[in-house]
Amino acid sequence: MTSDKKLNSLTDEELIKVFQDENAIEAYEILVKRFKDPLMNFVYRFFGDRDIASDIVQDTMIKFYLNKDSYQSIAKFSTWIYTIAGNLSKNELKRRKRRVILSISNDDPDDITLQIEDKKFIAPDRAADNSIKGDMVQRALLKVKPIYRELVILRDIDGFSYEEISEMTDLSLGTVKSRINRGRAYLQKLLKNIY
Amino acid sequence: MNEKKFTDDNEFNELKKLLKEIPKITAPDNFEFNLMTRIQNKNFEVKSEKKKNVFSWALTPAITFATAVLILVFVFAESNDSGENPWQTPPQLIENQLSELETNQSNTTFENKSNSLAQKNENESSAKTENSKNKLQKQLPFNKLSSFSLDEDIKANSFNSENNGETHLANASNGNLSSFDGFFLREVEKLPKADSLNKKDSTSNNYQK
Repeated sequence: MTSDKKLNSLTDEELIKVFQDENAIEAYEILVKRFKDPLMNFVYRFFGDRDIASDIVQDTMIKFYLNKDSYQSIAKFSTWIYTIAGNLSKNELKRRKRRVILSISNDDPDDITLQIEDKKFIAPDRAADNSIKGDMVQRALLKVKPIYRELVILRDIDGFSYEEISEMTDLSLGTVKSRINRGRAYLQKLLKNIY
Repeated sequence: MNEKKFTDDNEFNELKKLLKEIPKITAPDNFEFNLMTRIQNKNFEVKSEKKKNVFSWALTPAITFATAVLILVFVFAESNDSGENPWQTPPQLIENQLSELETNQSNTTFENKSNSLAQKNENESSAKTENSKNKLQKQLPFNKLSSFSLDEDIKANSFNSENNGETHLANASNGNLSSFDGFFLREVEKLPKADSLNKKDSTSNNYQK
């Protein structure tokens, strides 16, 4: 119990160090508790599907468990785990697109949600409702290209700095900024009925 | 630069506020339990990676197209390939000399053969034309191939008493042919009439009487 209290007071980087050195599953569990919701939110905003998001976050945690030694203390733990989650999300997106191409049927989940979205977009008076607003934002996000979407989510929803995003995505700072601005501009155009 | 950054950040203030306000999504309640069960059972299969099909790369249209193009390029390049392998071809000087010798030999034999063949063909064709001429003369009552004077022919035959009034065909080549007797009227045979018509004729005759 006391050890748990001790561990809870540690930073993310200290916890991963404990997990690496002592193979302490408690440290791992605390990190899972800390990051499951932010990662879930990030992946859900990227995909718009709870089940897929849950699976991807589970896979992220499994990868973290298996590859704990590949983390180096020079980087922030959050950056590292978000990189894993982002890569898994992009892989999943590619896999789904490939499946859509091969099946020749147009049952892309993105397309289905967009069709519904267009019908709902015509009711600005109902936009006051918070949940509907959230729904509209989510649908608009799914309309933005994945390369912009990911960066906008990381910056404006999860609140990472440009430098951290640059590190996560392995892109230059300029590219990150320009992509975020493009994504925002497109999103603003889509959401102009709300504000 | 700083000013520009400031305006860029301010440009999307409302949007950023809206994005911050949207409700946060949380992980399902059994998330940790499921995760720890997976770890305990050593079920480390990552779903997004395990579903990769071994042949999926071959089915993607881009790779299929590229493969098709490569195959076409190789097929056409091979058919138009005029290059030679220097290790497999013999030296050109010797090859030229050999080919010259071969052509000289073959030329002499070929000339002889062609001359004899031409002679044979000529003989055959002349014999054929002669035969056809003779045949033609036998078949026709007059010689179509040679010209003659019609006046002289008439003079010569008009005083010939042996003809007994019979004439002969101008330019008739041989005496083998029968002499020309002139033209005759052909008597047309009476066609048989139907019985009913014959009867009609007889009744009409009776009436006239």
